[in-house]
Amino acid sequence: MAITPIYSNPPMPGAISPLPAPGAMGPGATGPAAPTAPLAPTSDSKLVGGTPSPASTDFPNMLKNMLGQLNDLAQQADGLAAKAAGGEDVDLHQLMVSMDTASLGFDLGVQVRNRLLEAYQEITKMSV
Amino acid sequence: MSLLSTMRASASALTAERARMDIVANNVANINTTRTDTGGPYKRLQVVFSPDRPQTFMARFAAFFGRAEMPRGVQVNRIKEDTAPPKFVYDPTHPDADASGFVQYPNVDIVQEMTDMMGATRAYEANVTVMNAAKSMAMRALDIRA
Repeated sequence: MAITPIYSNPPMPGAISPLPAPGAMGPGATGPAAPTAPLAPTSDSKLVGGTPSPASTDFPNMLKNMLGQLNDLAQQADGLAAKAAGGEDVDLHQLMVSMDTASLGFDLGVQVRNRLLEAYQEITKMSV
Repeated sequence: MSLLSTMRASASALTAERARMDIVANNVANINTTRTDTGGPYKRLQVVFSPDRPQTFMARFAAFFGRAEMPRGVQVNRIKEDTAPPKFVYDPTHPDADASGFVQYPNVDIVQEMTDMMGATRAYEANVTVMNAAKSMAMRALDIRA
């Protein structure tokens, strides 16, 4: 039986996943490296001693990606709020949910930044 | 992040209950409508909900092997006309009266509509409560070692 949604929900903002989703990269991030055949280990991978990983899974890119997604959430909430204020037909709960999601995502980002700063300070205090 | 899937499920339920409320409002608004484009009185509308499952091929494939993906809440499947017979009221002066003086009034029962309305309101509240609980869980998680 074909199910045809009549009142469909607007797409919710994408989940904040720690792994960058293909095609959902933050601004400035380079696209994920295409999966290639196993390469001979490069000097990079010799340094860390692991298997070569795609360039997009390293930490700065991950962070950039997450910030981009947080920005998307905030912008979506902003857009909905502007629409609602402009008298367009916006479901009130969709507006509230997207604002809530954005604020939660922001809180999460703040916590991540706190941990990062903590780690940084821990390292600067280290006596050589 | 599974928090967002909770939010999404609850938000879909909120949308669905709003739709139900819209239909109730429409039914009550048309409770005395004796004339429609298709002829005859207004017919009471009903909403039919169905679970909103991922409709992709992979989702069906997984479901076939008993490994269903997480459902995504609820959706309004269709809006159906109630086939119950109309109410006949004797009123020969009414413009829509038939030859024997009976007017066909919609099959809308105000008591049933009020019950539906309360049901929709309560269900809406329940979903808001679920959403708030999910959010407070996430906030607690952010409090870990803060």
